[in-house]
Amino acid sequence: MIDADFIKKEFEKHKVAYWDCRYNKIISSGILLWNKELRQISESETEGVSIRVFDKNSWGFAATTKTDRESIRKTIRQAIKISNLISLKKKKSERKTPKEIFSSDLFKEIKDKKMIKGKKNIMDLDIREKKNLLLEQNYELKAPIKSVYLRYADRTEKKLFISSSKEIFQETDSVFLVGGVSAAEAGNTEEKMFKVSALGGFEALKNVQKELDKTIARSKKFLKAPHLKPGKWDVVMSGELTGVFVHEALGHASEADTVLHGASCLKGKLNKKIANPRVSVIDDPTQGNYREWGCYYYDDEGIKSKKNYIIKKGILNTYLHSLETSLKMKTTPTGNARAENALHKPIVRMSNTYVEKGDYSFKELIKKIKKGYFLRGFNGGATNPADGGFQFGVVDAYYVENGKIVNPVRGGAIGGHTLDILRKIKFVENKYSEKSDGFCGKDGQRVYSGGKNPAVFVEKAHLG
Amino acid sequence: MENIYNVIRKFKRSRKIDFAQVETLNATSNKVIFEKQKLKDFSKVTSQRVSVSVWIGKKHGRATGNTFSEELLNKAVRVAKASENLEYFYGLPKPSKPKRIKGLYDSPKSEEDILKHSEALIVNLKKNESMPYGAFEYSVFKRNLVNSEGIDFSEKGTLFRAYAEYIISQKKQKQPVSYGDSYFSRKLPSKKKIEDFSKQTLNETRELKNPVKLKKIPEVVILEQGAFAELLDEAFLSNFNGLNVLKKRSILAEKEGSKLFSENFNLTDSGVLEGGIESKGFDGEGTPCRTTELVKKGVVKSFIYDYNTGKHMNKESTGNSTGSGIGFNNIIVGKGKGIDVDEALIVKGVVGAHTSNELTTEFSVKSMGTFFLKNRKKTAVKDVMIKGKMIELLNNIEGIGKEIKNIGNFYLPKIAFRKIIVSKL
Repeated sequence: MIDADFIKKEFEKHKVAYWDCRYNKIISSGILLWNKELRQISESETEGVSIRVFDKNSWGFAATTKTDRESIRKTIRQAIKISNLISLKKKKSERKTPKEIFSSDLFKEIKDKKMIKGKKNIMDLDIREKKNLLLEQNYELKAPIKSVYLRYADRTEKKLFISSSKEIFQETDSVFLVGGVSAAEAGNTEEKMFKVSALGGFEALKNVQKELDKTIARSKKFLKAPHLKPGKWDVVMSGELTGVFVHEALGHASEADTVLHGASCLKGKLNKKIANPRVSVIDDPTQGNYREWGCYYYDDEGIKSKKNYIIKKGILNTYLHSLETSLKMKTTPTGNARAENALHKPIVRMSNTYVEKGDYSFKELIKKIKKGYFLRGFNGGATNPADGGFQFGVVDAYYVENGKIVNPVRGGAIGGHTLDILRKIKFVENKYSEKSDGFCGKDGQRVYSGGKNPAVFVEKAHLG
Repeated sequence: MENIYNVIRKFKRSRKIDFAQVETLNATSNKVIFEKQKLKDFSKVTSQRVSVSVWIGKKHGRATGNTFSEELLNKAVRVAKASENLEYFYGLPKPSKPKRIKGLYDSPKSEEDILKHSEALIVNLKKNESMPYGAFEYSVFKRNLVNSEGIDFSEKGTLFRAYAEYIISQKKQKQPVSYGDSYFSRKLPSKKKIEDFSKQTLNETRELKNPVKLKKIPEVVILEQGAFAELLDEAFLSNFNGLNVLKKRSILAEKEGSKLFSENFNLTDSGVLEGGIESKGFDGEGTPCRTTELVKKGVVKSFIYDYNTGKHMNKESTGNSTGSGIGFNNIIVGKGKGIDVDEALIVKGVVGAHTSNELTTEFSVKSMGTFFLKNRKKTAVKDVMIKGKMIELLNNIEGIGKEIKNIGNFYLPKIAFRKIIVSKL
C-alpha cells in the first residue's frame, strides 16, 4: 500500500487545480478444467499507481507498476507535464479551469473504508480447495456430450483513492465460474454455457452442480431441434437477454463520453420520450445492498455511488457521467467513472443496468404471444451506439404458439435498432428473474458489469 | 539483482523442481485521444509484468506479478504442488538461436514528438462531418524469456496504432453515417502516412452516405479485408490450432493433406514477417518463430503447435506458443488475380462475428458498411444480415483481390464468395 500523506505532501510542491492518485492491488487465481483434465492453474498478484491532474482546463494522466517513492514522484511529474502540453495546444481563452465544481459538495472531505466480503474469505482458502470444487462436479463424458469445461476465477481487489480532500479505501472479493458444454450428433453441434458469479465469498458457488446438470440437459435437448425461422416475430426476452440489451444497446449510448463524441443515438434526446411509458431503465451500483456483480461504494473518482434512472417512464432522464464529462456538459457526476485497474484512466462505465420490474408474470408474458419465440441467454453480439444498430446471438430459443411454449429451436439472433426496440417493449415481468453478469469492454478496459433483470415482451422484433 | 537464469538454476536445485521459465515484459505506452478533432487526452503508462512457470514432474504451476522474486517462484511451486498431472509434458525447448527480424523496432519518442505526430490525424472536414473519436498509440517494449534449459533471449519492439472514426450527418436520413478504421504498424509512420490514412477513412465514410434499400440480392458477396479478417478469426482459424486437432475439437482433425478449399486459396501463419504486427524472434517458450503453410492450393498442409503439443503429435513446434497456450502470429492469405464480377454485394465490416460457431464454422452476422456493385458502380445500401459456413465458402471462392491490406496481424486481400445467404434487416 502507498502512503497517502506522502502523496499529499508531494502535491503541495506542485500547484495544480485538481489532482487524484489511485493505488490498487489485485490478488487473483484462475483454474481451468477441460474434460475433467486440469489444464491451467495460476495465481497472480499485481499492483499499480496512477496520477491524474487537471490544470489549465487540461487533464494529464500517468501510471506505473512501480510503487516506490521515486517512481511515484516521476509519475507525478509526467502527469503534470502532459497536462501542460495539452493546455499549450489550447487557445488562451480555453485554458481557464472551471473551479466552481471543485468547491461543490462532491469534493468535501471524505475518509472512508468499505469492504465487500463473504463468509468464506477467498484469500484464506488454499488453491486445492478451489481446484476441488471443479473436480468434485459429477458428469459423464459420453455421446452426445463431446466436451465440458469449467473455468474458475476469483479476485481480491484493494483500492485506495487519494485526493486533496479524500482518502477512500475499498476492498472487494469476487468469485466467477463459467461452464461450457458441447454436444454433437449427426452433424449437428450445440454449445451451451452457464455462469455463477457473486461479489463476496466462496460460498456463492454452491449451485454449480445444479447449473451444470441443467446445461448438459439443454445441450442434448437442442441437438435435434429445428432452426429458428428468421423474420419479424413477437418475442419474450428472458431477464438475461433483457440485461444484455439494456447494457449493450441502450447503456453504452447513454454514456456521456459517447454522447460528447457525437457517436450516440441518444444525443439531443434528453428529457424526450424514447421508450414505451411502461419502461424505466436504471443503472445502480448499489443493487441488492452492494451485492450484485457490478456494485461499488465509490467510483474511481471518489464519487459516492448511487442509483440513476437512465429512462424514467419512457423519458430519457440522464446520461451517465464521470467528472470529466460532467464538467463538459455542466452537470454533476453520476458516480459512473470506473477503471479496470490503476494503470487505466477512469472513464464512463455502467454498473448494474436493468429494466425496472413491471406488472406481469412470466406466464402472462408468454400468453401474449400468438406466434413467436421466447429467447433466452446471450451468445455474444455487438452494437453501434452511433446509429443504434445492434445484433445479439441467442443461446436458447423456443417456439411459442397461442401463448404456450411449443418446442426448442436452434440458432437465432435478435437485431435491429435500439430506439425501435425500446418502443416495442410493451410489457415487463413483475420480478427480477435473471442476472446478466459479465465483463464489459470499452477502450481496452474490462470492468465488472451486470444486474438482475425482468423478462420483457417485445412486439415484432427482427430475428435472424 | 542477480541474473534470472542463475536464480532459477539455483532454485531448481534447492526446491527440487524439474523445469522453470520466467518471462518478463517491460513496456512504456503512450496514448493520445482526440474528440471532435480536438486534443482531449494524453496518457503514459510504464509497466512491468513477470510470469513464472515451474514444473514438478507433470505438475505445472504459474504465478504472475510485477517483479521477479524468489517469492514469485515459491508461489508457482505452491500452485504446481496443488495441481494435477498434465495429460502430457515432455519438458521445455533447448536453446536454438532466434533470427533477427527486420522492422520490429523504432526508437522511443518524446511526449512532444508523439503529440506533434498525432496531430496528423486531424484533416479538413465539411460542415456536416465530424471525427468524434481519434486515437494514436505508440508503445516501446522489451521482452525477456529465460528457462532452466539455457534459454535466455530478449528482444525489443515497438508498436503503433492509430484509429479514426468519422460521422457524417445527413438531411434526408434520420441516422448519421459512421465508420472507423485502424492503422497498425511496428514503426512510427511518417506524418504524411498518418494523414493519408485519416483522409482515406473519411473518404470511405463519405461513400457510405445516403444508403438505399437493397432491392435485389446478388449471388456474389465480396468481403473486404475487415469483414474477411473478422470471420476468419472468429469462425475458422481455431480449427488450425494443434491442440484442437489433437482433442478432435477441430473440423480439420484428420484432414491434413485433404483438398477442402478452392485451388486459389492459400493461408499461412508467419512469426517472421518483416515488420509484422505479431512478428517476433521467439515464441512464448523460446522456440524461434517461423512460417507455417496452413493451406496451399486448397489443400490442408499443417497446423500450429507449441513444444509439448507438437511433441505429443510427433511434430515440431511451429513457434506458436503464447506461454500459456497456442496462438497465431501473423495470418497471411495469398493474393489472387483480382475479382471480376458484374454484380455483387460488398461488405466492409461485420458486427457480431464472435457469435460464430468455430466447430462448424457457421456464422450469422450483421454487415457494417454495405454496397451494391453493378457494372463497376458502387451504391451504398442499408446493412443486411449475412450467413454462411466458412468451410463451404472457402471452397466456393469466386475471386480473390490483388492487393493485400493488414488488419492488425491479418494480411489479406478482398475475397468474393458465392454461397453467402443475405437477408434484409
